[in-house]
Order: sequence, then structure tokens, then C-alpha cells
Amino acid sequence: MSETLLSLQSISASMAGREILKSVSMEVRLGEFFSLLGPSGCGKTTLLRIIAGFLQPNQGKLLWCGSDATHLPPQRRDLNLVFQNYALFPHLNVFENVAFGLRMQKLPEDLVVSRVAEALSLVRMNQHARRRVTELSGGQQQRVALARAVAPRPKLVLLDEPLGALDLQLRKEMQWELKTLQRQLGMTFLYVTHDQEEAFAMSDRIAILNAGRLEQVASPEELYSRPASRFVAQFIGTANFIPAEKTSLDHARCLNSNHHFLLHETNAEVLPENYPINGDILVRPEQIILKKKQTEELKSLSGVIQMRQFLGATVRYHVELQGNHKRTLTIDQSSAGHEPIATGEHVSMLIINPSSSFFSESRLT
Amino acid sequence: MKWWGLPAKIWMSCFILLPFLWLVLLSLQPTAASTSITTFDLHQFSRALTPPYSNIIIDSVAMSFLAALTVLAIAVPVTWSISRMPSKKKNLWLALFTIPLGLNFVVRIYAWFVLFRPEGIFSRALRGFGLDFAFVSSQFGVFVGLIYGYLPIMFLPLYSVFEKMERSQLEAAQDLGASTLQRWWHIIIPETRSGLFASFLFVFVPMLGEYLIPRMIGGGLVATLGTQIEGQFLGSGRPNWPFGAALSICLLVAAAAVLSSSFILLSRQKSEKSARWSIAHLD
Repeated sequence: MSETLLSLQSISASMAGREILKSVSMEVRLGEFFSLLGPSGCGKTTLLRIIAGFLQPNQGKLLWCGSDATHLPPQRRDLNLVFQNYALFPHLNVFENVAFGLRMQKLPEDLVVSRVAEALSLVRMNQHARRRVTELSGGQQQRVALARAVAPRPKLVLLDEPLGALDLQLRKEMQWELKTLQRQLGMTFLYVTHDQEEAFAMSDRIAILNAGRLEQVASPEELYSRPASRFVAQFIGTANFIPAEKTSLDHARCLNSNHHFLLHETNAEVLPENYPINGDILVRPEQIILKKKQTEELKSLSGVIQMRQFLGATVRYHVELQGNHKRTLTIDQSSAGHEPIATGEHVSMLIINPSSSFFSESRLT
Repeated sequence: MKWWGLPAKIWMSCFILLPFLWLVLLSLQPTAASTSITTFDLHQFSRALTPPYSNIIIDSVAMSFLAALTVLAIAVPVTWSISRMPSKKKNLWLALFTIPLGLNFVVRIYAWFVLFRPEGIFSRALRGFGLDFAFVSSQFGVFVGLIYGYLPIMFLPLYSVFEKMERSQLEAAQDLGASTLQRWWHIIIPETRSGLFASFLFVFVPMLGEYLIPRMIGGGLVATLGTQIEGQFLGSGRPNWPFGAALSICLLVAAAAVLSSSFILLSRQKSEKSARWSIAHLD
């Protein structure tokens, strides 16, 4: 396990009497690409501003390389921020913008020049060093802002939804570039976004923030397959909740069919005599195989196709689950060799996940 | 022929160019009584540019320049702090600071006279503390009066300059290691430079021609360019319009000189900086 760079300990913050962060604790490790992901208004920007030093938490501590940095002013923190609106200095050209942090450190001029040249070539902007920043396109400004943040070689680079203003194509390109850049530099990146795909595309680990509370910190794979809460399950990708009952510590049974599930969640709080517990099993859209219904099958769920969408690599079906617990499921089938099923047809569904997550009813929000 | 420039041209000719030409013609008349348009000389100018009038011109320019700088020095921190307030508070404070503009200028200045004349309450209070200085009828009094009179006028243009300064830019500078002083020096001043300059001119130029404040606080004992010009045109003594016109033109030239030299100074500073940038890049 690598070294901890930044550690937040029960950080709470409120503004104008409203609680924005509720006892958030997490750790960012040296050299990782870490994302803070959450819907807008979840408090991720507040958390970012606390880490950068522009805000003070009402409670809690911020440890930087093991020592308390909660009240350190922003200019004395060894981290740089890439702002959402870039916040480039319009009166300075590209070169001077990138040089700003180095000049503040009072580095000798020849070192400033070589560091700026290096940072600009990393973002492929060395051809534009003398241009005014106001003449640059959004993508170019983005690159300059990035170069300005990495040029002083901080331990941590904070990125506040830096790709939000770019169009989709450019955003995809920049995601790739950011990830490559972070690997090349070996710097720690803390990336704030509300875009789940973006976070997944780049991050080593992701923290999910919801209404000021930290829901889960895990790798993208783990978040997807083992979400800690219903919120995470729904926020990350598409989630189908299929009615089920938990019959033992690691076992659940589907209510509409005879499916049995192995659970990887081992919630030992429940006493054995309280089983079975009613709730839902999480099933991802690609974990179900659809078949036209021929005969009554015991081991599968049955449903009626409501809508079909062709998405290219996959075909997405919205299927109404039949039985006592009616609900609509989203099911993806690989489009390769797939024979389309018409709307209104009865289908049987086979769940193919070997292990799954169970959410009891009491946790239903 | 682009006709849409016409209104501006008509305005310029009728209200600026023609009156100015008339002023020039007037200033070239040899005596107050003459109304000739064939004989011209520079007698009025030679009188204006020799003592005591040349000294008055220099004193007025110097005093207005210093007073305008002082106004700027006071208004910058005040307007800056207002511009950084949450928007509700901002409007209230801005209103409070500009309310004096709603009062008649003469009333505002006369209040100073009443408070600071030898038998006024402020003067008596100051004497109580052992501070006895002549405020009314002194150059210093006029200087303070100019500052007081023009301070509220500076607030609005300066506020609109600072208002546009984005918080994120200051935060970016701070994040990159700039202290408060460095943020002012490297970000706020360079970015608002032209706005600061315009706000300065906004008070400096009218101060140069100001005659109400020197008349009321100076009590006729402090001679400025403004009071001299006023005296030549409206004075109770012997009005001398050609001489007044010559003084007015001197005022205009003085203002233009200060303006253009500051412009040159500003642009030179800029080009020096960009030269440094390109050298840095080429290395």
C-alpha cells in the first residue's frame, strides 16, 4: 500500500446554517488519480475548497503528509488547483501564466524558462507560448491552466470539473491526455466531477459524495460490482433492483422466480432468527439474458418488452417484470448476433451474475 | 459616405469645436475691449505664462494631481472591500457611500466651511485638544476640500472596475503562492490599470478647473487656475475675457499634458514587459 498524502478526518462544514459536509473522512494516496464524484450540490466543491485552503472546516482535521494542515493558508500548501473556468490571468501571455507559480517561488530566470517550456510541451502548447490567453480556444486554455498548475511541481493537483465547458469529443480526448499526463508526472491528481463516466475513465479510486456524506471510496470496478448503498448502485451505471429475500448471511432468493444468489455482502448485524429479510438484489443491465418465452420456466423471471433502443454495441430493452412485484428493468444485450425482440413480446430473463449485492427494504430511501 | 457618423460629427462641431475656436479667437485679442477679428497677438498668453499667473498654474496642477492621487488612495481600499462583499451588503454600502452625491455640491462644501471656520465646532474642538491650525482660507483647507468633494465621484467608476475582477483569478494567484501584496502587485493593479487610470482622470480633470471649493473654503485668499478663470469672466472687478480665454487654454493644455504623459508612461511600461517576455521565451 502506498503512502498517504492527504488525510481528511471527520470534516464537517456548514454555510449560512446549512450543513454541507457531514463528517467526511478519507485518504488520498501518493501518486494516485483520485476522483470526488457526486451529483451537483453534494458538497464536492466545498470539500475541494477546504483541501485547497480557501475554506475552513467547522470541524475535523486535514492532515498533509501526516501533519496538521487544517489552518495553513492556500499560498503555503504544496498543491495547485485547475479551476473550472480556468482562471487564467488575461493580462499575461501563455508563458507568463505558466511561469506565475515559479516566479512566486523566486526561482532563477533560467530555471523558470526551462520549467515553463517543459510544462508547455507536456500539454503540447509550446508553440503558443507568446500568445495572449484571451486568443486561445477553450481546449487550449484548459491546457494552459493545467500547465500552470503542474509547472511548480506540487505534490497534489486539484482539478475542479475542468472539462465541463468542453464539447464531448474534446472531453474524451482530454480525459485520455489527463490520465497520460498524470502517469508521466507521477503526481497525485484529485479530480472533482459529477460525470460518472469521466471519473471511471481516469480514476484509480473514486469517492462518492451524496448530500454532504461520503457514501463509498473504492476502485471503479468495486463501486460498480459492490456498491455500498442503493444510492451508489443507482449513481454508478444503471441499476435494476429485483425483489428478493435474504435467507442467510450470504444467500438470497428471488421473489418472482426460484433464482438463488450468492451474496458477497456479509452484513453480520442481523441475528439468524430474523431471516428472511425482504429487500432487493442489484442486477446490472448486462447481467441478464433475454429469451423469447416458449414454455413456463421455473428458474427465470418473466416479463413483457416495453421498448427497444439500438445503441450500437448493445441493444437496450425496457422490460416490465411480471408477477407480484411489478417494475421496469433495463436490460442490455450485445448487438453481435442478437435477434431483435419486438415490443409487446413475452420474454424470460436469466440472471447470470455469480454474486451480487442485497439491499434490505429498511434502507430504501 | 457613411451617414451614421453624422450625429456625432454635428454634435462635435456645434458644441465642442465651434465654442473652442471662439475661445481661441478670444484669447488672441490684445485687450479686453477689443473685438477685432483681424488683429491677433499673443499678449494674453505671455501674461498668463509669467508670474504670478505661471505659478498659479503650476500650483493648481500640482495640487489637483496630489488631491486626485489621495482620492484614489482612499477610494481604492474602500471600493475594493465593498466589491468583495456579498451582493446584498454590497448595494447597501455602495448606496451609503454615494448618497452625498445626491446633496447639492455647494451645500456639501459650505458644511465644511461652517464646521471649520475659526468659530466652528470642529475648530473649537480641535483647539480644545491644543490643535490650532488655519483650515479656512488656507491652501491645505482647499486641498482637503477637493479630496472630500471628489471622493464620492470616484467611488462609482472604481467600483465598476473592481466589480469585474473575478474571485477565481485571485484565488488562482493565491493558490500559486502569491501573498496579499503580491496579488495586488501582480494581478489586481495590472488588470485594472486602465480602469484606475480612467477613474483618476475622472476626478483630476474637473479638480483642475474647480473654482467653487477654492472660493468657498479658500475665502478668496487661495488663488487657483479655476478661481482666476472665473474671476476673468464673472469677476466683480474688471472682467477680462481674452485673458480668461488664454488661461482656459492653458488649463486645457496642462490637462492634456498630464494625460498624454501618463499614457506614454503606461504604454512604455507595458511594452517593456512584453519585451522581457519574448526574451524569456527565445532563450
